[in-house]
Amino acid sequence: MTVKKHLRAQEVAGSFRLPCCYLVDSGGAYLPLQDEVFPDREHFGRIFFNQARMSAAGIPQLAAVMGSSTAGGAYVPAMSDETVIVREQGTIFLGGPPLVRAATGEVVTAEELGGGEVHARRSGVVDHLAEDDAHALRIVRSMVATLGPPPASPPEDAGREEERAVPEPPAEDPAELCDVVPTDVRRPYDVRRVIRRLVDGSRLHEFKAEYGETLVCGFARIAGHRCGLVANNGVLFGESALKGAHFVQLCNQRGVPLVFLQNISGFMVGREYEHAGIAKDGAKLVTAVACSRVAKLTVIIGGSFGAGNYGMCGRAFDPRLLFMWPNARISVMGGDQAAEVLSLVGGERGDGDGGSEAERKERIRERYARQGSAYYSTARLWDDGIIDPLDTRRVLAMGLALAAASPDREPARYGVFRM
Amino acid sequence: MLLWINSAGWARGGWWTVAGIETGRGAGGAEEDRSSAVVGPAGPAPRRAPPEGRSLRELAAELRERVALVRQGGDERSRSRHLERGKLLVRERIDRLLDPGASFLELSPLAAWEMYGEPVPAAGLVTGIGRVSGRPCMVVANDATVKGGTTSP
Repeated sequence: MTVKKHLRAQEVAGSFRLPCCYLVDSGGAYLPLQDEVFPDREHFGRIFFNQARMSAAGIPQLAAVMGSSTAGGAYVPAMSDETVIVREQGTIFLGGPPLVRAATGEVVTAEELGGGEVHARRSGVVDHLAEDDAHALRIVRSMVATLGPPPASPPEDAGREEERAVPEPPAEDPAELCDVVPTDVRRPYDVRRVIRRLVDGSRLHEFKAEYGETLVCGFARIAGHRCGLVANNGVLFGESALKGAHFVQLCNQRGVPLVFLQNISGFMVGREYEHAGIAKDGAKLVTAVACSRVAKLTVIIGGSFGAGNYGMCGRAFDPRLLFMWPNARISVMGGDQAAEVLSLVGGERGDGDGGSEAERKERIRERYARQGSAYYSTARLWDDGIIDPLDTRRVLAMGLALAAASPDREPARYGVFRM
Repeated sequence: MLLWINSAGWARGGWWTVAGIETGRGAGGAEEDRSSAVVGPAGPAPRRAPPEGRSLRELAAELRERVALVRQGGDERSRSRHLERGKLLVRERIDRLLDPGASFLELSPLAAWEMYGEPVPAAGLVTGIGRVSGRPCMVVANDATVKGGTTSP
């Protein structure tokens, strides 16, 4: 997961245009698993590709070498705009002493091969020589200080600058969040309970409150920043999806960042709904979310099952940040449904045979429960972390503040909406 | 817990004040956050009941425990060897890099949680957003106390 996490950090940095500070202390690729870290598109090489592309986009790349920076790892400082190394502690080389000895027979110490003195005085791979960790970190701070403010927005955008209101705490106590939300994702509740404890003054300018009621949409402010909230309030019907698609377009039209609160059991199924074209209505929401240009932030506060995950800006839809609550559940369908479906289609392959039907169903439920947990998800970087529900407002405020400083000014263009 | 703060405490004059977030936490969780020094040996946590049977408050407490465990980094031996070399631990480095009092939005502290036969805390890499010399930055820092800071899948 190290490479995946590194790449995700770079992706987040790119989306918010954040300068990157790499504190390098790495032995390089874990050799026993090199086939899983070295060759593929989303492997080690991508780190350096990203550094080059971000530098080109004017996003500063800064590195402090505070230990080993070996082999592929050597490119992190080498690809950075400005670099510091700690004397007699940091080393940078493409091949370490054992590799050099194996390749050429040359015997050389790590310090002679690629220590601070070598790179600061001879090779030019680094720009500053620090005495210790603390000194190196002061130098990185000094580098950032020389960057100055982020590039100013073009004057023609002046009118579109976010007007930020005076921040105001929610009128309903956010500390009550844990009391008003059931942890069993199968138990329905009114998501407005959550919204009122997240937004300034507990005020939501709700859009189409009487239409497609299983999706709550509306404008609000969090810490003074405007946002458009899209929150599940039951199973998604065609109307809910249409309303969501409309609202997402509205937010793009007005340049308002989107916040998705996911608690989805899925889209409604059955003859009536299929005949009414729920698939094409779901597709409209998915199209609108996918083509959206305003910043998107997603929090999975309950279930995230099936295609609803897509319409509600799941990982595949590039929310700039995606967090989960510890009670969250994520899988293609719920465990109970999976057990029934697999039992009906006579599948259940890969679960081993044997046992009664009830036992097989129980195994499927257990597997879905394990693989659907927030911890299973966060371990695999399907999200950017599990958060304490009480931190949600703070985290969203931070995301919106960062988004306000890095707006995407391209107008949204949509593909073909299936009508 | 996802947000951690450097030694100067919550956001006095830090980024959060600038972002307009009221300081202090509704449920008094800040103290619990900082108790990360008092946790048991790194290793897989015992199996717990599924979330359905427990309150959100309990689940949040469990989250804090797990994050605190991971924040210790590698095992005792690797950490003391790291310190003997005169190096700072990865989170101390980040602490000193950030502006005094600025908070740090750590990303995926539980990456690689219970994925391998042995603990790989935070996948050996600490990443997150914090303010450096007045400017929000992305920090990407290896933890050399976890498998020598090597990059695993």
